[in-house]
Amino acid sequence: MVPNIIILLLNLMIYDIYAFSFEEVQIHGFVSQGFMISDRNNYLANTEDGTFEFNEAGINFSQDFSENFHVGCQFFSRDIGDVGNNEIELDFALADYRLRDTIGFRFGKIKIPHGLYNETRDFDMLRTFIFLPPVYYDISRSTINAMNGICIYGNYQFSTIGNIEYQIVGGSKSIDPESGWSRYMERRGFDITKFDIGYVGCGRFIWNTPVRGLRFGMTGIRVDMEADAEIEFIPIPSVYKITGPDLKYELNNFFIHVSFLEYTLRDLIVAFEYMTFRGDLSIETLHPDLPVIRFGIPVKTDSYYLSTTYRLSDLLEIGAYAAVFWQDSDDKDGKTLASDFLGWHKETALCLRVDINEALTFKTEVHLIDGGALMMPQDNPEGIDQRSALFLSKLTFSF
Amino acid sequence: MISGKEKQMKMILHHFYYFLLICFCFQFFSISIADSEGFKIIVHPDINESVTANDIRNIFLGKKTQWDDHQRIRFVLLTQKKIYQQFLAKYVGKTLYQYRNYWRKKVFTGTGMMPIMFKDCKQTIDYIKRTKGAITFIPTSEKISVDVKEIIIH
Repeated sequence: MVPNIIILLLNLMIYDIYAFSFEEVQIHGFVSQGFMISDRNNYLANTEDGTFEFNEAGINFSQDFSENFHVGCQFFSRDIGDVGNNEIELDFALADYRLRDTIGFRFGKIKIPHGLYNETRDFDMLRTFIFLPPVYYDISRSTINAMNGICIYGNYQFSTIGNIEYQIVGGSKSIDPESGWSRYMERRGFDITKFDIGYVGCGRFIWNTPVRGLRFGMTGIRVDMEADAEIEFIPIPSVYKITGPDLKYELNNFFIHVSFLEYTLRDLIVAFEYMTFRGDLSIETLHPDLPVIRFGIPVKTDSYYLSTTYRLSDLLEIGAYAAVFWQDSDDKDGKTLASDFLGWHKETALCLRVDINEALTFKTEVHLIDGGALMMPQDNPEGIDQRSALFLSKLTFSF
Repeated sequence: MISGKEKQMKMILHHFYYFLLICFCFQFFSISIADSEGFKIIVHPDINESVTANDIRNIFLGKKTQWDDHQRIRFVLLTQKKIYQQFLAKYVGKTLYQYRNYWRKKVFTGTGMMPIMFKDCKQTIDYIKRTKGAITFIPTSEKISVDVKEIIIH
């Protein structure tokens, strides 16, 4: 490993990296605007009344500085309900040096490999569906979008068993306390004021089998997370005046694993992914006026989906998926919850994508949802209904 | 009792299904039959190694980036639609749309840059002539000089 890093540094010195020219910079970008409306339940935004608070925009710059060294960065902005609010963030910024086909290095802010589509989840024009299935549910984006660190990647070609790709990333990351993960914790009665993330490690292995179009793979993400939170509605006597961080929130042994399969046969793509999300959530009160309370909640969330897309022509593509999400896989029937349907989220989606030209894409999509596991109580103060239908449409320009 | 919002949603869903139906009808009338013009693979004359179909796939997916003598592979794309589609279907196993998205995914995740593309056959051949380690595909009918080399795929 050390010799490889020395070679990388030597290369950086040998090549004239100051020979920067705007003419050689590749610039790409996109702008999306969506609309959502639901018959019951507000889902991710104020959808019951219909909302245009659903957009994304990004621009990226990249340049080759030598035949195996390139640098790129991307700025991204989005708004979905209360999340994002079109603040501009650095989506990624990395340097990539490919020593050989079997080994390359990246460093900087790197997209996290998670399942088949996590790295491209924000780019509407690169997939069929408007909303990806709950394996990529929006609340998880802030936790698993990108991280700062070093990545080793490559691929091995075998004569008989196909090709194996790997990517291993180690480093750290920060999470905005106003992000989707905080919104998810709000439903448990905590308002997160600060995240403190320790080491983050993740990896992906993909086996491209000798059967043309068939590939299997798995990804794993390991995070140590601590957070300060203020109590919102945890059942404690209301005489306590609560200020500052009142809770220490620790998520230990946090591990997200996804196994996946994808099969491409000409214009047909079938994908299946199964995600497990495990961790030990421990909570401890810190406020001096509060009694010391310590309790643990094991996190055991499972989700899977089966999707299929078919390209009908240059103009049209259709897609459908069926997905299930259980917030507690030991209680899939929601027996311990106030309403059993809060224990699951079952979703079917049907999508039509129209590529008006190479730059402009229009999509329209219907979701039928059974269950309330991913409906936020704070978005639905009058209560959550078991069944809801969601209609989405989105227009994207990309170049 | 159906509420106003549910009625509104039902109406939206009905319109969605009608839209799907109209698109399918449009699709039925827009099917075209692919032309069967062939293509050949050419390289810079310095390349002296045997190349398999698997190598071609990995080269054009950016997974094989060096020839056996460690010279950098520089693949270029001729974007004349029929030839481009045939080449991708035969060697890469992707449709034109899938292949374009494959590279755009690399661009928007910072893991790669778009390949060099030419619309014109002459420009493509000129690039192969002057670039060491270069490889591309051109129509079978296109005549080539001794400055480039056609290779047989094993």
